[in-house]
Amino acid sequence: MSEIFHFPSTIFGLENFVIIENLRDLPAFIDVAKVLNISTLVLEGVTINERSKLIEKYSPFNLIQLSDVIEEDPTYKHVILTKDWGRVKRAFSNHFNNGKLLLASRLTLSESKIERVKRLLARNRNKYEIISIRSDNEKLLKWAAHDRRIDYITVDLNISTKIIDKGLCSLMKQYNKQFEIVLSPLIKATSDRELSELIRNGRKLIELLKIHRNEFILTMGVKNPYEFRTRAQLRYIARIIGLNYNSTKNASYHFQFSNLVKNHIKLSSSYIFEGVVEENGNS
Amino acid sequence: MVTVKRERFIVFKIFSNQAESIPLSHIRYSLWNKFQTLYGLENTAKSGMYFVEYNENFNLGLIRCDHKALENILTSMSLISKISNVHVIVVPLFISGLLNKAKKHYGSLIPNSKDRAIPQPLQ
Repeated sequence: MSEIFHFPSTIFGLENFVIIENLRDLPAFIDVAKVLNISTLVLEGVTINERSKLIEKYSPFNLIQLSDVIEEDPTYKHVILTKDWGRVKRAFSNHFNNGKLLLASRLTLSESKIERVKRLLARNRNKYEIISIRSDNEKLLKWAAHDRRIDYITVDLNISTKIIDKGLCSLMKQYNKQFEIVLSPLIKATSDRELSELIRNGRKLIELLKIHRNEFILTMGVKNPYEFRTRAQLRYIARIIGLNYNSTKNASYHFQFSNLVKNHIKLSSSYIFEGVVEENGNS
Repeated sequence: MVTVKRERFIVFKIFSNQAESIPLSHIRYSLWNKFQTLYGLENTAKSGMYFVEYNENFNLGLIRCDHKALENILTSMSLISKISNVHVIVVPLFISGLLNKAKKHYGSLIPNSKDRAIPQPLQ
């Protein structure tokens, strides 16, 4: 990828799950992401402090963090209440148009015991912007569905999706939580048999989510820079598991972006919780 | 009943992790193979897909297809991850119903290309 190529579109993508085993490889991921107009990378296992150090270390790559944009205008912090996402998105787009790339942090908990997850959450919630959970324990997922500290339940298509049942779907709907569907197994499938199994699993899952009107997000789960896909390509890949292109508009960008911004604002010390009224002491 | 078939032209670019260009025959094989795996032989035959142009130096190409097969072709392109054991990303850049317009865009992506200016028909 030595040539310099400018993507003709101004539609920016977001990759919600980037797994980098060795952080020295980060420049390779950034290069490909920039070429494909993917302006936001959510790095797995990188804490907020480590992310700030990474941004300093790789400063020639024009990296930014959420606070750089949100602190430009104090009114951006009220977006959780006002829900004026267009204004915040435009602020970020201005930075992306100048060739900047946003880094965020996340943690995926792969556990099977509730007690262990509780302990990990208490320890890690303030260190990461996004926390998701991936488990084969039905009880744990149902518990996670109503825990406010968990943002997503991650679903891999290559593992049996039977664990996602009606009960879990209605709980997720009730607590306004989203499933995170990892699509990379579809491009990694080595045989037709494997691919057909993945498609079957995916279609079953999507049918269930459609019945319960659950929200979900699409991600690639990138482990190699060449697993990145543009925003439109994500939506095209989702077609083969039964999702209409037009029905995945929010799932490819808006939900991920809004969750990132919301969590960043909530983690900041000046956040005022919903329902709490700020009063001036002099009045 | 009259069925109307409309053409669509897709300008695409291939990004790979090797400096050498990828031959057209390999790309053609991968795309046909992926399409056939996903949608079967019948739909592949109906897709009316063929490569109008391909520039090996820039890994840039132009495909023609039927409008009904457009989304299926874009899905197949997105699912291609390797061509002859080289990691690739096949990215559609521009879609049009007019060959001239597609060629103009294709030409604009090739620096110092003659394709930039589309030849006018003789009068």
